[in-house]
Amino acid sequence: MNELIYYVVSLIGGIIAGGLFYLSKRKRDPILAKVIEHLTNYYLDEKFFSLKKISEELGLPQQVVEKALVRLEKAGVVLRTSKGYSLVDPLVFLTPKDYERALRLTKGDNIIYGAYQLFYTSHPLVAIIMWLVILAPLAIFIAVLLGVDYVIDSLARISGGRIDPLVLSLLFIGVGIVLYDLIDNVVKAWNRGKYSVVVGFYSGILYDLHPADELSGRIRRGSVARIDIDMSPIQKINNFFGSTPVGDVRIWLHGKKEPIVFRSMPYPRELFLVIRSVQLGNLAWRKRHARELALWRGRIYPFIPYSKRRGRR
Amino acid sequence: MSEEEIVFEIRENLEDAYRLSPYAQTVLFALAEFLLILGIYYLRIGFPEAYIVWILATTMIYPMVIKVRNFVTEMIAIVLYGAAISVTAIYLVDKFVIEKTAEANLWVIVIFLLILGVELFHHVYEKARTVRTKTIIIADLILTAIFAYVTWNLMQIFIPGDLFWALLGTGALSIAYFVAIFPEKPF
Repeated sequence: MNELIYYVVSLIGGIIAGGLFYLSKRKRDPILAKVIEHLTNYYLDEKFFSLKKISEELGLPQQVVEKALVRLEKAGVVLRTSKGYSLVDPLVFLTPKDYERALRLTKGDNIIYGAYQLFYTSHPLVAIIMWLVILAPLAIFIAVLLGVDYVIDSLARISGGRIDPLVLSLLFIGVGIVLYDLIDNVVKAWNRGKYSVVVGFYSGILYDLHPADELSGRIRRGSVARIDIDMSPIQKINNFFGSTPVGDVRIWLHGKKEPIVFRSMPYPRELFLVIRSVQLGNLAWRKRHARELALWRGRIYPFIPYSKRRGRR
Repeated sequence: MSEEEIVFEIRENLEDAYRLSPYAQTVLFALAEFLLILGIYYLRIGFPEAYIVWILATTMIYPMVIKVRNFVTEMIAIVLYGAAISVTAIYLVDKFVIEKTAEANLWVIVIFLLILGVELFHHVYEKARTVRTKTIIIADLILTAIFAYVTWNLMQIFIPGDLFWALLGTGALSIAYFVAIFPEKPF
């Protein structure tokens, strides 16, 4: 095949992918934005709200509002319960089941942060295993490319000469990629539901002490003496290049020397700010930024930046 | 305690606080590209292979380094993906299926492309990796069905007549593939 064909195909492939992306990129949905704005303005501190009430207040048909709420529910911005809909705080990263558990255990407190300690993201062993499953097949592929006889002969023996060694090494790379993603997904799913940390406005900080725990660890609002964020080199690398920023949050209690450490918490800076605000008993920032946080949290459409204007607002 | 004392400046994107600055990201990406081109040149890889290695590596590096999220940066990632996957597919089919006419090669290449196509897409477009929509779930099921069919055909070449191991192998690999490509929340 003429070499030029490859470049033409590549160019066409890029144009088609870009074109499809452009066409599929939805513009900002005005109804969804209106619903989010209304909920964050008037229902941030309300426990439950009904579809009928929101529909009446917004002057929109119930079907339209319901469609918007279903999308928000999928994005984790609202939760549908037997008592009606509930606005999930933007910094709650718990599964609906765990969020309901947290609501139950805090007797319906205003939960402003909830997440799991992501141990695996900063665990060297997990990082080594995950890189090994990618690098080992890649090393085989490079060895075949460089014509290392031992590797080529071994691959030919494995396939009985029915598959080209280079193609077989590609299969190994493919299996390596699947294994990497499989381990990543399984570890995430395993990690979820264990060691959750919840911050309620009145109940303080609640956390799991062991996998089957029901948030028995408790730090009352008034007992927090000092808070600090710590990021290990692995966490820093993860924060620069990975998908979810993590860090350790240390909390010193009055009269205790050793801190309580929440390891690899997602968005540790925000957890720090939430704990500080609970400690000081002021949630004004939350009301001010709730809409933007909900938009970001939902990833429903590109984030709308705040005004760049500095100073008081 | 007055409100001003606890006015928290939450940035326009929460992740910005944890990432490198856009300037540092650009410099790092340029440096990575320079090293990549240097490596390709040093290894004396000929064309079109050099182009394929470059475009695949760039598609992998770009989303890892560039963390600024807007329409343009996402569009660049998707265009890179389209260019990389199309040229890889045509090259592999041309070199190992048309020229060598080996049936087993065909099945292995289809398996490789099914894996690379989805995983590379997840790599460049975070939403596909983390959000479970009806469309994405249906697409994943269809891809898994194709994967199972191709794996079954490959098993027939490797272990002809051994129904038990062929079924077990196909089932295990297909389940692993489905779990791997199924969207999972990042936290």
